[in-house]
Amino acid sequence: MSGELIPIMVVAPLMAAVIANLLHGKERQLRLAFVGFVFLLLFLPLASQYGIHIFGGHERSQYQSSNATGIIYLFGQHQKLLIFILVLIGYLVISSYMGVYKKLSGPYLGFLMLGIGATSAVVMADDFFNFYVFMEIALISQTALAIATGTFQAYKSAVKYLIIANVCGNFLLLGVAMLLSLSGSVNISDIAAQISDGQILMSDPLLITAACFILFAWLYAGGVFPFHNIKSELYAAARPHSSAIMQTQTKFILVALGLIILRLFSGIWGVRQVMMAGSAGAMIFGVIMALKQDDYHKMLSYHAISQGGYVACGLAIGTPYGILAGIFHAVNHVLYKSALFLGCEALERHKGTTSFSKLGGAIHSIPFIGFLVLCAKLAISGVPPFNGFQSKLMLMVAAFDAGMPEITMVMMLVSVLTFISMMKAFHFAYLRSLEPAPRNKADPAELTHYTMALVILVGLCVLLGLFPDIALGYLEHVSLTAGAPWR
Amino acid sequence: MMQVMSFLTAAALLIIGLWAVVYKDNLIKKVMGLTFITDAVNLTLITMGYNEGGIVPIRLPGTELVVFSEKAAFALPQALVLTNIVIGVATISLILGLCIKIHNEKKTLSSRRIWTDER
Repeated sequence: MSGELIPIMVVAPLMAAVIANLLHGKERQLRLAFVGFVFLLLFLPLASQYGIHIFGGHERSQYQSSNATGIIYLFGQHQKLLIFILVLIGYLVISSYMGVYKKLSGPYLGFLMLGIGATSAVVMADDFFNFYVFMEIALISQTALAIATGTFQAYKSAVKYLIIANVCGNFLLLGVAMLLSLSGSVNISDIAAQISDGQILMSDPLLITAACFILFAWLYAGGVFPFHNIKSELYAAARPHSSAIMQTQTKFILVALGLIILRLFSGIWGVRQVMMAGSAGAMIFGVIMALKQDDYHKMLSYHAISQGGYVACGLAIGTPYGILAGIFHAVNHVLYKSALFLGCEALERHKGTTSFSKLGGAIHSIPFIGFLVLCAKLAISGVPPFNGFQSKLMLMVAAFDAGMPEITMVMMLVSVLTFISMMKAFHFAYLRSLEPAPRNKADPAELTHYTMALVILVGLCVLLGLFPDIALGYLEHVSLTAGAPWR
Repeated sequence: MMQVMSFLTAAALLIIGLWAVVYKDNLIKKVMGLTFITDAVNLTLITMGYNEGGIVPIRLPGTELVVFSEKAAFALPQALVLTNIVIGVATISLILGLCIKIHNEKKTLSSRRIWTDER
């Protein structure tokens, strides 16, 4: 297979989004087309070969003689893993939606695809132009998925989200403008090479200002403190299966932009400190807010932010081991959190609600889904032999090695609180007996698509928990190249 | 001098825009603040690409390559501005559409009332 398949991983979902809109209302054609598209989604990352694909651009080594104006996608080891996980979750979410919902919406499927295409581009982009455009598309597609529920709650969350997303996008562009004036390029590798060669000084006020603007964009796009509430409100306003893909996008944007910040600005004092403060805030406030919720879906939304704090923390530590642990946790987290969101949707369809006050006794009617959800809950709580244990342990060791035992303590405390919160939710939703018992809205046989998705996701959680090297091998190179000791 | 004035104007637009987004209660006024911020960023980019006595970055027949490379304005900021305008239009339209929905539901555009009152 050739490198020409690499941009197709972005182009194909975008084309699918256009086709989905055109086929809206033609139920049979839409279903047929999307059966093909979801298989194509899985095929492309597996078939594409490793390498740099130049899409009208230039190679990095030419930065001294020319300005980069083209689009360059890097499809290295970590991009391979992240995009495979993204399309796998996209595949499971879209197939669950198509299997369970009687009437499909073309625009809704279009926005799901748009989000997948945009996030793939963000993960692979090696130029700020491409990165900025697709990050904005990903943010807008997330909003559209929430709006699709048609509730007032979704509208007001979406307005708040979009207003700050617009400010964040403009700040990112302002940061890019400053980098462009310093380096004459928007190519990230070129700018990084100029900084490491000493052509751009770390003490340059323009570089420091650019770092501040781009850091702001990272905090917002990644749903990190102080913006954790806005992101979690949006997840809670969307359908649970949309929340699964939305939180996957957010984690991967967090990783992609975080790696860019580490490559360009890690030498500036204060950058990693701000990242660390944001991540610790997200971990603590996310889990506290989750404990306060009386709705299962809202509780999971806040946990998504809290776990995002772990990922951001790994990146903020910035050592090779910290970055390795952070990205590994991002991969693990999107797997078990997607399982939890899909389990939540199965429960919602089965019982007709996600409110804890009305849930109970589901273990008797859907025991297998209950067992799989319990496995995902143990994974997020960091219990062995699941993947969450491996990455959380690595994160704690990385923080301790970097001389930050207080961060290790915070991680342990948040993990315990997560366990308490998850067991509380499991008790209310599955174990508790309510009198009179809530009536079932959907037959367990109608939930087969969710069961299949949960089996795959929980299976991967166990696999990565027992054999973490499968994923770590893909992440070693990026952690070694972007990592630097904590100062 | 012109570039300095242009940067100062952009800074003023950015501050006014941020003030409106943070302190104004009416959603439409917040949206107006957003357009100020977008304009500030666009003006910054355009000013960066400005070349005094320069020519458009399109090489016309008969133009010497040396003259063109010396005088042509930097084209990349223009491409960024064009993209930012398109993204800005998409985002602002979506926000305004949501404002209509919210107004139909709540009969108000006061952000304080919308975000604090649960229905």
